Amino acid sequence: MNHLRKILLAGLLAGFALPVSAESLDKLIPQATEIFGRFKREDILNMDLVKEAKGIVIINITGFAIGIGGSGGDGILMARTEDGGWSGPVAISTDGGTMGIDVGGTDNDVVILLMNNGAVSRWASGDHFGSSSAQAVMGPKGGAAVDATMKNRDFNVYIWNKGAKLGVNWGGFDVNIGDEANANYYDKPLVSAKDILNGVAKVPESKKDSVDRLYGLLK
Amino acid sequence: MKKLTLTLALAFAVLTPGSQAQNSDSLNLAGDQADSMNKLDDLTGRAQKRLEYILSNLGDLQAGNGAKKAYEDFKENLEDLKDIRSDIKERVEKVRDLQGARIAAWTKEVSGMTDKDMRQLTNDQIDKAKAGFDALDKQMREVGGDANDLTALLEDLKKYFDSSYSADSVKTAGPMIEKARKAGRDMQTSVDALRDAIYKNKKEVKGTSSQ
Repeated sequence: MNHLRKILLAGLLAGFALPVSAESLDKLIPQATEIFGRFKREDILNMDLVKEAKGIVIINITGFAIGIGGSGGDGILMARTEDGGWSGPVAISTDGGTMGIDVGGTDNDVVILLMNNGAVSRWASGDHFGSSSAQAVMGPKGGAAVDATMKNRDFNVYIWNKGAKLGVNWGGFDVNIGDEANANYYDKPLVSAKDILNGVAKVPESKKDSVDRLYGLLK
Repeated sequence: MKKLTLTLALAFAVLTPGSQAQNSDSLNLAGDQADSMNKLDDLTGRAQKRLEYILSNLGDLQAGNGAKKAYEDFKENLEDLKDIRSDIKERVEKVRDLQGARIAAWTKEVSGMTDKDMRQLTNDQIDKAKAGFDALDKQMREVGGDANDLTALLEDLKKYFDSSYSADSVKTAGPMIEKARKAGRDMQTSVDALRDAIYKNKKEVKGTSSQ
């Protein structure tokens, strides 16, 4: 009986340590494509700045409460590859904090351009972003001239909330890597975010239809 | 003080776009049409997402990744896609109706103009709006035709698997699955281009409204 109790207790404890389970990448990639497509079509994003980015986060954030924060989101992270293309997508989620939103809204699409490799590494390692831990401002709109300041800051943030472009209120949130979603998608139980971003883990042939469309839009 | 208050109130009324009243039928209809085009874009986005799920299901079927689940998901996603397509067809009809009503109202308003040059200017605008929408409508019909073909192909695949589903039958249907995946990818490209065109046309329509 004691033995059984120990097994149950160990199981419970292990349960707490399980990797965060994000939405499957089969769902997150079409969601990211839809978000990015709209940002591009409506000139919300500056494509010249996208070309300069070393990484990109595309995420949908829900459940924001005014004055409290506590938003949660699901999305993907990708890194620039050596040949100038994009890595496979990494499933991520965020929780806590008030990422991105100044006022109201319960359903916000967010694109974050990561302008240096350090910023990509922080996202890839599932970091905590404190309120003053990063330089992040709204990125310039499509068609605007891109200057060195925009290229040199850590992040350029773009937010869409039912057509309104809101200010950035950044910080106090955690990034979680969707280990289970990544393992399922890449069919590798122990695949890490770094393996995916470095190109060690490739998008399986059977999954290319969906991600190729996103790559096309990112050009 | 009263004078200042009145001046401020007047200035606010003039400067606040939301305070502008729609002052003609054609302007009201332009606002409705732009809203309807937004809804059409949202529906089209939902259809694209569903098609992406289907392409993933077909890829998984071919690769043998959880093939049984992929087949079940494929059937469910196909039904959802058909439902969304039905909503899209209704929405397209609504947009066409609003375009017709807007042009008719606009034309009627022009006929009430006395100045010849003003009438000519507005008629030119109407002709441009008609031509722009006709081009969009042609594109919508072409994409709609291709979507019919793709849906039929996906339906055939479903029927085939309904009658015999096994690892062998999936293998035998390999070329058909590949054909469907190719048609699906082409469809996504066409729909992306269509949504660009809808967005541009919507901006033109909005330009004729006071929203």
